[in-house]
Amino acid sequence: MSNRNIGNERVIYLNNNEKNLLTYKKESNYISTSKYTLCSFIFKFLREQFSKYANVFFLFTALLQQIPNVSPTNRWTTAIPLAFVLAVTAIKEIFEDYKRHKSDNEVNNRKIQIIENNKVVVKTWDDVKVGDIVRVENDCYFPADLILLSSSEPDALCYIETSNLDGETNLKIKQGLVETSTILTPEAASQIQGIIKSEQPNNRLYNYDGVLIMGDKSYPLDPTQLLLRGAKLKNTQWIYGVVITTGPNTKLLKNSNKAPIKKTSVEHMTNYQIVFLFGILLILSITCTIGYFMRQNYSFEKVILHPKEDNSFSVKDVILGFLTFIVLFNNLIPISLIVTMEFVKYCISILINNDLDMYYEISDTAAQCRTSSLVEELGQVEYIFSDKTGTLTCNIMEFQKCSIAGQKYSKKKNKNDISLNEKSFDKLKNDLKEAHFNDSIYQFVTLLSVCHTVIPEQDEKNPTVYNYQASSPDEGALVKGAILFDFQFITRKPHSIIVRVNGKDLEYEILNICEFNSTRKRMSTIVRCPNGEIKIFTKGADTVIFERLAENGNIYMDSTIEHLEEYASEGLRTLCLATRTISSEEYMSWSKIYDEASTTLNNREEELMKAAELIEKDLFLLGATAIEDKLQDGIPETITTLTQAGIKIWILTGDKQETAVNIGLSCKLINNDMDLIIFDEEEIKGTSEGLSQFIDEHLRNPMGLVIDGKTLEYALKDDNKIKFLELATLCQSVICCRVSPLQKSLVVKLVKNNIDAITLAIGDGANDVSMIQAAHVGVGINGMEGLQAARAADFSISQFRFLNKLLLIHGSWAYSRLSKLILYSFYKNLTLYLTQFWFAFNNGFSGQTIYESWTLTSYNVLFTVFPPIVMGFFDQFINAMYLNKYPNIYKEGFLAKKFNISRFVSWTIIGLYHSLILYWMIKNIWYESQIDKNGNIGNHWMLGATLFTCVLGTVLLKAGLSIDKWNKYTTLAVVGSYVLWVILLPIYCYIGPLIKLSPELDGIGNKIYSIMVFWLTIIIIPVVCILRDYLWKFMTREYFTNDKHIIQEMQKLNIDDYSINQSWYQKAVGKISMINHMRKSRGFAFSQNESGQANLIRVYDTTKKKPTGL
Amino acid sequence: MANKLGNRPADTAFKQQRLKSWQPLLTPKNVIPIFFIIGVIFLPIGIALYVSSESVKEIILDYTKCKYGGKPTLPIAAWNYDSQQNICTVNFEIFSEYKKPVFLYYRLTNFYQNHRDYFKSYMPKQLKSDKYYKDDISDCAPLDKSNGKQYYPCGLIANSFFSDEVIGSKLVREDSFEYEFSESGISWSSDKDKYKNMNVNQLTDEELKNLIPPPNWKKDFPQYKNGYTRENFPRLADMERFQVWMRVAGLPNFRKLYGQNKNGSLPKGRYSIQIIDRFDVESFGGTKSIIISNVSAFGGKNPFLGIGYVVVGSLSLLLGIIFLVKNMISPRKLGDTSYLSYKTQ
Repeated sequence: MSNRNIGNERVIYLNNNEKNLLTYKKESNYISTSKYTLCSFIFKFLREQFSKYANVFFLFTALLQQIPNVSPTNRWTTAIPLAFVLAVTAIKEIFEDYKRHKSDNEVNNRKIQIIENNKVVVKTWDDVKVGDIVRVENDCYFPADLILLSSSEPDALCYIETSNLDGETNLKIKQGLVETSTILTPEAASQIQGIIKSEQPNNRLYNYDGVLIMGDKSYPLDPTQLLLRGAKLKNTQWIYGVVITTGPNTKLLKNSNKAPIKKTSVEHMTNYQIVFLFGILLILSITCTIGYFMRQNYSFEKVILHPKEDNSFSVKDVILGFLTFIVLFNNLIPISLIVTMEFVKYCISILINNDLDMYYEISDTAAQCRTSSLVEELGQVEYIFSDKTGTLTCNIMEFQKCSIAGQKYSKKKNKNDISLNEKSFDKLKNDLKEAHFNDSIYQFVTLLSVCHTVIPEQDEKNPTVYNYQASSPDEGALVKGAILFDFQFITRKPHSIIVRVNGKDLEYEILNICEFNSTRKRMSTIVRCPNGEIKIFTKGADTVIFERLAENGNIYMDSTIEHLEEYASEGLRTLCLATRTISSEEYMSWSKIYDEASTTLNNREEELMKAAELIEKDLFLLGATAIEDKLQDGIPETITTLTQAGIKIWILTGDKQETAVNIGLSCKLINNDMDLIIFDEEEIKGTSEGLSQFIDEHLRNPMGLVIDGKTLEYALKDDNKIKFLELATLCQSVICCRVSPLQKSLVVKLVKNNIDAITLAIGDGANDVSMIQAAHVGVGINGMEGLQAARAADFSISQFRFLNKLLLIHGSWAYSRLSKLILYSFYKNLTLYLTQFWFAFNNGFSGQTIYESWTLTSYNVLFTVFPPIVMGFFDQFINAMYLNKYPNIYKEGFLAKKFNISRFVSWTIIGLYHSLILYWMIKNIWYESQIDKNGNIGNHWMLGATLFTCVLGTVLLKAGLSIDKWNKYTTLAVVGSYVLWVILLPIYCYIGPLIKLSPELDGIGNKIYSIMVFWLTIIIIPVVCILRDYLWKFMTREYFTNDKHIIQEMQKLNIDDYSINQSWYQKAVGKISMINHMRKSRGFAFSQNESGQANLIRVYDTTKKKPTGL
Repeated sequence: MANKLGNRPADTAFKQQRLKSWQPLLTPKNVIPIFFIIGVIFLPIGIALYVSSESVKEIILDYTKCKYGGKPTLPIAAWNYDSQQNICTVNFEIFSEYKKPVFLYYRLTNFYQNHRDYFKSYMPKQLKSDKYYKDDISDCAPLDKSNGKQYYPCGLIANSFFSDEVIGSKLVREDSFEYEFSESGISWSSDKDKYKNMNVNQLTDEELKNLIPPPNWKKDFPQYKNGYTRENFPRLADMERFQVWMRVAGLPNFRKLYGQNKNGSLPKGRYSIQIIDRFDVESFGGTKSIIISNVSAFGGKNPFLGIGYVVVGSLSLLLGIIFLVKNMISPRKLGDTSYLSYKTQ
């Protein structure tokens, strides 16, 4: 055994810090998820910023402007705004990284007990070193990967919860080596000597290889002894463990990829558009350079500009001329766009964080947007990939209903909720008091409290209360359910259990347990009852139970089936219960067979199954239980609304098929109008053929696809995956069950990479992290336990139902707002700078600017910076209520109706048109130097200031036309920008020349406003420009009316469309579904670890006192 | 309680995006009135502007080809050219009285005062200095210095100063009635601060020798043929025509004010004007004209703005009427839910 090949191994010395330190000096348990450190900030930040085309371009422009004589504008007009933009971004980055540092610190500073020199010392997580022996207490997370030495439980057993690692919430059992299980005190822990040879750090969660060498003996270590960072100790008071890997080397952290930098599709397109604008810029510059070049032979240039004959024209002039034009037109690409966009996204994210509708009072958590750059992506989601446990369900199983001997009982107390022929649990409890031992109801409840593998634990504070450790949540629910009828399971001993019935302790001797597995779909316990009778209690799937009923045991079968179907249609998980009294002769003979089977070495499991088959016969059907896998609030409504919004929802769960389908039903994701396609074949061939077959048939009916993890493995292979995707996208809903975390991310990537659609993944556990990171948008549920998913996610919310508000409202708004913001920003700069281009035709392509430098710069950073911001911040094309009522409008998002090439081109054309009108009109109004009423003529800069006012008026009117909703801030931004200019112009004309900033403007300020024509000009030109847009917008509403228009009008006129009142509609559909469904499913579902339970529970004796470990 | 729900967002209209707001929709009910309002406001303004522009009297005398003789086109009745002294005499008729004030402009076409190379070639500090300006004047390139001597005033703008001269700055009627235009007051008031007369007496002989007139000045103005002396040194602060010239025009066809008469109206009659023709426009394909004009409250003659207002006003009215009629005949029902796309599908 000792010569197991571990390969390149790590050697860890027990209780020998010096030696460990030699090897693992550099390994620390400190983790860091932050992006920057103090030192790396400048370098990393600049590298990231200058990976954006726009910033490189502006840097280039700023440098160009430093070349003497190239820049037509002041040499600092790009450098200063660029520096400002970078500074703002830097502040934002610092702020966001600070938050990451804070949360890292919180984790790194968690407390942990470390054994040092016979004593327990409390240290922080980041102090944990390889080789340390640590003590972890109940409900605490393991700080690093540990090898379990001993625990408070017998035989070094312990329970852990691994939901952060794999999303499974049922407890898992780990067991230390027998050789170390006696270490129950710090002293003992400090004494042990030896070494652990361990595998190199890797990311395989389910594998582990190691050897513990003590003295000259070596003992193999496998995953059973391994406690992983991220898991949590449950129902075990304490454990001792040796740290084998720390911090970044732990399997959990090896599994977590560095969060990828996500770019939204809008950002992608914006980048393309910037390149496109750069193209326009080049075209304009080249056109002007050619014009400049051609004009060199014109006599004006020769006679007036080059009066000295030695001034010859060279290639250098052409290049410098070209650069001049680049500088002149550089702001076609709006310098403020990127920073405005980021600022607005940040603001939107704050609004999301502050939304009361997404605040969950019970856990006192509000929604949190962690990646503000993704907000507009929320408005374009087409596929949602959802985890099940903890996301759709609360992860609470509740015993809700049962059918005993053909009589229905329900937990519900309210009379209105209880249907006809249904009795309440209270009634059942009363009936029980009078029942005889052999009555069905008595047997039924006895079965609940006896036939299981649950371990009870007396509560320390309240001795009458027992907590149950159940590796199957269903069993936990049943045992707890029995308490409702005063059947309290209190003690488990190796060979018996005690149930307290109405205050009386009854001891049942456990003779045999025939375990549950997925083939048998049932479990049985054979007990000797207090009255000496031997009974078999069986619970399991309806089909397997019905097969094994005695001829006279099926008297309640018909009514039970009816009830089962009813329960199933409500999405409840059902189990059938049956029993039989066994004569002692029969038991004796069977017991031999069983014992023989249990000692076989080969095929033991099969032999045991055969043995069980012999005794599980001629059963008497007692009835059925219905357990509710409690859905989170509002799940069905949310899913219905999201479906109406055109979003396709896929459930990816580690759970079993039955459970998954059940949840699908109960959350209305699948209904019974659907044809369910179920793939659970393991064969490659079967999968491939199955896929082809279904696609060929091309079913008309709405389809739902249920696919098993194993089949999925083949479906995801290169040859099949496109076919699989084709089929899956034909289906209305897809449920993937028993999938691994890796498969989850593969499914997401399959859709993401092959379909042009935005994907969203939502989950709560660490097992969802890979999928959350893979999807375009990752949403984490702030679950009850663990925040791993929420930390890795771009958004975190407390409840699945908040997705509704997040997507349909915040998402739609963000998408619409940012589309407007971006298109408008492009438009406003095009309009201004194209007038410069038209002007070039009238100034001999000399690169002369028509506007004064700083006016030009302030256009981007002052006068037109607020309208895009208010558009991004406040605009609501439809209000929240109507967006929620008419989710159909959400489709505009993923159909990219608001932001696409044609929208961009049309805004570009509008910019072109406006600039042409602006320049043509001002040229004609100006005529041959405008003459004022004193006969004085205006000069170039007055022309510039007039045109600038017109441009500003036009783009602000356009902003006004684009804004759907006006509030005081919006009004202030739009009107205020104009007023600001009108006020600042004369002031600037006075101060500018005074401080030598802009001598050009001297004398204009006090003159321009006295000219009547100036006022008439700045009125008519914007009106002419905007008249077309106004008319167009009106005509579109009148003659090409779309949903948005109608809903806006409904909102305005307060019209409600009763004919599509959803809740009513949904209820109707639900009813029809229910009827249809009855023939289909009986809702069996049961989750339980496969085998091994029976032996484990036999180790327990809950009457013994546990060691404290101190 | 407050402590327990510490993360609860504040319930303010701002944070919950419930700010009081107004959502204007472009429905016939508010669009049609707006068309009418624009029409009703713009049309009268347009008409007033047009009438006012038409009331401005203006005569344009293009004398570019005067030196070649030949038959001039109207409104020039006749011209003749004295090639000895390069004087062009233009005869024209004023048919009705020009109300005061009356202005005399010259107009150049195809002259790119707004050319960047031209535009930047001047040195405000030199113009403002009453002493010899010692610092760098390379801004004036290519006309900053010649053989170490400084052009005064330097730069392309100054060099190309319009050199034609209206003799006596006056119009002479057949009956010898003279109507004079004054140079004073034609530049902007702010120009006063931008120019200073050189304190000639303070200049050393060397400094004076170092200041030379721009090439065109030397060529065109007889007084500068031999350079500057203490007597003929240009007094920039008094040369308002020069200041007007230095205010660069925005477009390649432009007018500049040459003189004004605020005292009396210009009576009708046949007039002549004598211009010394020095400024070469043909070399760059331009033209030059003299314009006599008065102004209205809206400034010079330019019907464009008036027409613009009339067109926009009538178009708006027309649209308003069309939509009004349409809306009366077959109105669209607002918020008609039966047209929602998922219902019609």
